[in-house]
Formats: sequence, structure tokens, C-alpha cells
Amino acid sequence: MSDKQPRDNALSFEEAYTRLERIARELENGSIPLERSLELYEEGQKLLKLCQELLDQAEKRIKILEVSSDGIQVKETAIE
Amino acid sequence: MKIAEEIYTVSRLTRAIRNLIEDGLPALWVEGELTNYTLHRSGHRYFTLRDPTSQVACVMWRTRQQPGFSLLEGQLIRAFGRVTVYEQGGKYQLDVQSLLPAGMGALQEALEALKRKLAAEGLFDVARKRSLPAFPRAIGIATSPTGAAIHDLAWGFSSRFPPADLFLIPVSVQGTGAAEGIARAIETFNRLALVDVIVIGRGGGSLEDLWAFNEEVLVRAVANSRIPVVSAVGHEVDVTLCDLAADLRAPTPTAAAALMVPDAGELKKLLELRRAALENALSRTVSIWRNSVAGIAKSYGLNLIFQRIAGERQRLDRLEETTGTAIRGIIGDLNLRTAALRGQISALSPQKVLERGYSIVRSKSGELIRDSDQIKLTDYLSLHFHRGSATVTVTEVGADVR
Repeated sequence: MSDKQPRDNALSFEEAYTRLERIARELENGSIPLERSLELYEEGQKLLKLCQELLDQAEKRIKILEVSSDGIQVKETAIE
Repeated sequence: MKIAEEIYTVSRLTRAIRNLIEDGLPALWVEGELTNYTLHRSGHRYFTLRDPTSQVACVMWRTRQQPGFSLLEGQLIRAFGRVTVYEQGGKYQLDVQSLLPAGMGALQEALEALKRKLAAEGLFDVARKRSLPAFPRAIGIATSPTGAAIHDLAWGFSSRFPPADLFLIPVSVQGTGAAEGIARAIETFNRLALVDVIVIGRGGGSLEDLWAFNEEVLVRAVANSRIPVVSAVGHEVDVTLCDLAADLRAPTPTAAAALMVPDAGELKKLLELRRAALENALSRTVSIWRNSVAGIAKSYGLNLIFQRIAGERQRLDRLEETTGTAIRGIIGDLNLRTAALRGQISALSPQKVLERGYSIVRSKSGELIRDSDQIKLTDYLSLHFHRGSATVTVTEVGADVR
């Protein structure tokens, strides 16, 4: 399969968003050490940025799977 | 009239007829009354379709999809297939690929029968239904690549929620083999495990147009899919068996996008709330720490320490003060005493004594004379005055001259 996934190693939106919620919950528990809360805050800001970027993707593309007895071919095309 | 120059063999004629018929006629639907129906031991079905003036022989091979309804003599049915020529018999016949009862009533009846059967098996049970992913990573679409549905779905998904990757398996959504094709697409998506939700669907149409979505093979594929399936068929009013078996029924393909993915605009608002929550939480943590530091500062224990430190400092100050005064006193005293001593010492010095008019008297040998017994008449004595000296002779000796 010639499928190219540019975000293969990156977090998916769901992963980033779930992690963000967990951080918010942990941070809202005020009794964590100050240093830890700063770390969490920084990570939270990074995740927010990633989520924003994922939502802002302008490119609209669809991969078409052509299934035949030889296997599956993937063609990528823009969505009009 | 055009006349062939050659003489045809029967075979050649038959083949020519076959070519004419098979090339000249598309795959088609024929509606007629079912007669002479036989289900052969081999599993093939033979019957005749007729109307008041004509009839056509039909064969439905065992390998074709089984009709989802029982075939009754005299029933009005629709057969889909191609006309072929059976050369050995010199006859043409319809090679039937699928059968439907004709007329709304009959179709509806067949649909209800299949629905009852599948419902009895539990295929439509609510308990079977799985929830869809909140933020799908990738969506599998099985629909026609040319219809309105693919546009509505792909555009809807990509504009509402750009992070989701879209995969399309192009299928035909009506006619012979449509149900099998869509069922295979569902199986392919399950096998590839690329997507975390599947949507099948098509735009609106007549009950016949939507029939593929009522066929058992597809309804079962939907029910058997390990990946959640959304069915988005036709218009609001059209409910197919796939809709019932699916994990979610979307009334239309456009509605499917709204039901399956969150809206990026809404999410961005949510992210802004999250950002505010993060900032609030951090500043709350900081102020909690600040307060707790202030709390400790105000605490009895620490204040005790502070008080003790302050007390010690005061004591030290006092000590310093007292010590200072004492030392200053001692030093002053010492100074006075030193001066006095110095006075006394200088008063004792022989020069000072001589200054007051005393003289020192020594014998010729240098012995200090303190007593008149030490001297006799005519002894020479040396006298030392404050200034100068003299040698004198003793002319008289007495016991006390004072």
C-alpha cells in the first residue's frame, strides 16, 4: 500500500484532547507540587496548540481504495 | 431486402442470433406473472414470466442470490438479468440475477417478512449497538463514487472535522450485486482496520432503488461488522433494514456528517474554555501555594520561632550594650589609673627628687650614703645636685642633722 500518513507518529486529535482533559483535571487538583503544575500547564499549552492545528487543516482530501483480486490500490484525491 | 450471399449453418445462425440478442440488449428488469416455477434438485430455478400476450423463459442459477421472499405461482414479480441464447435448444431465456416482488404491496410484504426474520435473530437489538468514536481518526465510506451522497459525506466530514482521514471504497448502490458489493466493502474495512467508523449510504430514491439496503446479505454484514457502522440511506422517511441493523441511523448522508464528527468551530470554543481552565487552575495552584506559605508564616509554631529569634536578638543587643558600657568603664578606669601611676612613677624618679632640692651623696668608692655612721671626718664625699656636682670634705659628723 502506497498510503502516506503524514501524522503517523503524532498524536491523534482524540489522544491530544483526552490528554488535555486529564491535565486539566490534574491541574485543578490544587494540591499538586508547584513545579508539577507548571509542567502540566506547559504540556497543556502544547496540546492546545496541536489540537488547534489539527482543526485548522485546510486541505480536504480523500483516499480511494480500489479493491481487486490483486490487492488494494490507494489513490488520493482532493474533495471538491 | 438484404439477402445473405452464403448459406448459413444452424450453428452459425444461432450464434448470430445470440450475438444480436446479447449485444443488443442491456441488463434489464422485466416484470411479469410467475408461472411454471420449479426449484430443481440442483438448486437452479426455472420459471416463465408472462403477460397477457407474451412469455419469456427464465433461469436463475443456484449461485445467484436467493430471493428474500417465497415464489408463488401467479405472483407478479420483477426479474433482473440479461437475455441469453441457449444454443442447443435454439431458445432464448432470461438469465435472472435477482428477483423482487413487483408492486409496492408485494415489496413491502417481502421487506416485512425479512425484517421479522432478522429481528427474531436479534440483529436489530438495541443492546448490540456500539457507540461511535467521539473524535474519529479515520472514517470508511462505502458508497457510489459519483452520487450526491459521497459529496455530502466527504464535504461534511472534511469541513466539520478536518483531523479525520477519509477512505472511500467505491461501490454501486443499486441494481444487481449492489448489496454484495457494499457488504464486501464493510468486510474490507474490517479486514484492513484502517478506520474506526464506517458509513454506508446513498441518496434518496424509490423503494426499489434503495432495495440493496434491505437485502439480507448487506444487513448481516452491517450487523457483523466489528467496526461501528452508520447507515445513511435516502431521505428522512426511508427506513431500510440496514438502518435498523446499523449502530446509528442517519436520516440522510448530510446528517451523517453532523452525527458522526464534532464541529471544528464548536471544538475551538471548547479548546478556548480548556485554555482558560488551564490558566485558572495554574493561578489557583500558585495562589494556594502562596496562601499556604502565608499560612505557615502566620502559624503559632513559626511565630514562636520568630518571637524567640526576636527575643534572642534583643538579649544580644542588651548584652552588647551592657558589655560595651562595662568595657568602656574598665578602659576609662584603666586610663585614669595609668595616668596616676605614671605621675607616681615620675614623682619617684631621682631627677624629680633632686629637682626638689635633695642631693645624692656617695662615698669616694661610689657607695650611697644613707647614714652618718658610714662617714668619718676628712672623708671626701661626692655630692650630686639636680644640676651639677661637687666634692666636699667632712668637717663634722653628727647623729641627726634634722
